[in-house]
Amino acid sequence: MSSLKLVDPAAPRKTIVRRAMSDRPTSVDGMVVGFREFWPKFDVFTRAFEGLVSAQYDVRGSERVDGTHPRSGVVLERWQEFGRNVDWAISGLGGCGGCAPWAAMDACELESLGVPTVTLITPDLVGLARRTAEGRGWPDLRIVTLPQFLDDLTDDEVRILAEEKYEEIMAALLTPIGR
Amino acid sequence: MDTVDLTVDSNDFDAVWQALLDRGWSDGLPVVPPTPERVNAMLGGRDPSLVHVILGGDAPGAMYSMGNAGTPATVGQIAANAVMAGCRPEYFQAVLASLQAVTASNNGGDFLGGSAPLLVFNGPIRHDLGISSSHEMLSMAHRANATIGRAIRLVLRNVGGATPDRLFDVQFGMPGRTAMVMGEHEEESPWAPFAPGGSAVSVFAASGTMPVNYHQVPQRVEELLLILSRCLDYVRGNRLGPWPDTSALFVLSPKHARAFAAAGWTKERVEDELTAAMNDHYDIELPSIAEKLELINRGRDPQEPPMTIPMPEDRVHILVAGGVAGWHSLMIPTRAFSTPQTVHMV
Repeated sequence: MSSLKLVDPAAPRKTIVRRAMSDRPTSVDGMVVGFREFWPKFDVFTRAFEGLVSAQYDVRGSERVDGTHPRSGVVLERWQEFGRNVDWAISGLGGCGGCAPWAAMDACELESLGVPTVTLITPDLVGLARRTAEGRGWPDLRIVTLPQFLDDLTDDEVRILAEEKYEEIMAALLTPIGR
Repeated sequence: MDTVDLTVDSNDFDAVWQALLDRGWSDGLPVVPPTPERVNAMLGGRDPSLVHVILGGDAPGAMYSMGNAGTPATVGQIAANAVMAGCRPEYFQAVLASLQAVTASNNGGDFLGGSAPLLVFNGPIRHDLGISSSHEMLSMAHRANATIGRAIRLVLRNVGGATPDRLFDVQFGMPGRTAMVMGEHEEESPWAPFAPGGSAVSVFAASGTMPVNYHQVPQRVEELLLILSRCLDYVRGNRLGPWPDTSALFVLSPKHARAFAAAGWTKERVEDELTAAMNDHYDIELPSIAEKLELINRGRDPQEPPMTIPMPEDRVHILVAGGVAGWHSLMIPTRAFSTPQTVHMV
């Protein structure tokens, strides 16, 4: 055994300042739900989901915004308007190497505005989405998985999926922080 | 400078290399152990504690950022990585300037997706350091080209945290990220250099190289321009769908550049023509995108302009480089919405 003294070429892992998640609502009655959308058939999913929410709660309305990046001009303005108008939001679908960090970053932005979010990511990309959120100070971002190949499903199958995932997504939204 | 004691089974090359690999300090290729003696030689009297650049790529809306977003990189850390990359001490000034150029926009975050930092050197530094601007300048056949570029990559990796387990997660990667370094062949160019005014490095966010052939003799520049323009079909097509994230840089061979110049074309004219071709977006509206935009615009105030996908209006840039004998050029797709950054060296 021998020892070699070397100059450390690496920086220590950055300590991330943990940001406080938005308070979770106890109900979505009277609230405006926002859907930040990107991915084929994700709009079918969100519309089915909205129908389920509306059937259970007296929601005040909904808004949709496209997840297109980079944001500038009217796209940026619309995104900012969306952040001001919604009371809680679903961000998705993180189904590719770009879509997943974008969906997570957008959810972080909404959380920083006080908008409680649930981010929908496909299983293979949960790690990337989680690391993206952690790097911005949101290690506890609420993430729920959806199957990778949403666009391979028929509209009816997507609607059934929305029914199957409804309780899990609502639990991610409504469960108080720390539980 | 912070030092670490690396315990190895023996001092033979394989054991030391494996130990460095195990520390996670390598890009997969062997690295030179950054001993204090080697790092001090690389520093050349510079203060190792000085913060040189901030790494990260944590701009709002940035697609990717590094694991250590917002982390300062000290001169000492950079020197250690330059040693590991195989740089000679005299290369260090080029490494430092390159890092300034790389981090001038979005703290280096532009080089984490499908693109790599293409470093282009102008001025006497090319000769001083042996940076090739001629034959095989983009191959890893020249120590300066290979190791200066690799030093940047190792800094982004080891200091910036650009590793697969820490946010750096893209579908394919890009081999140019190991090193993509060239000089402009100013001596064989009929035009002014890309960055005039002495030694300088410019960085482009490059995502590949595409050879362009036009061997016709005598050369007709209108034909050459047509062929170069057609290569931009790739860029135009790649803007359809719906991330318009590609623009282009052309590296003209000296032969092709001289053909233009002999016909009285300025570099600016060639750039103008190619820019017009690149930004002449297809008059195609993909049904899926049209449907999406309709969905987005539904319910918006009709007095407001409808939302569209922003198209880059970037300018095509031209460099002259490569061997003097070939009737070839290169089209290098670049990341759209990014502006090449230039840093002059004193």
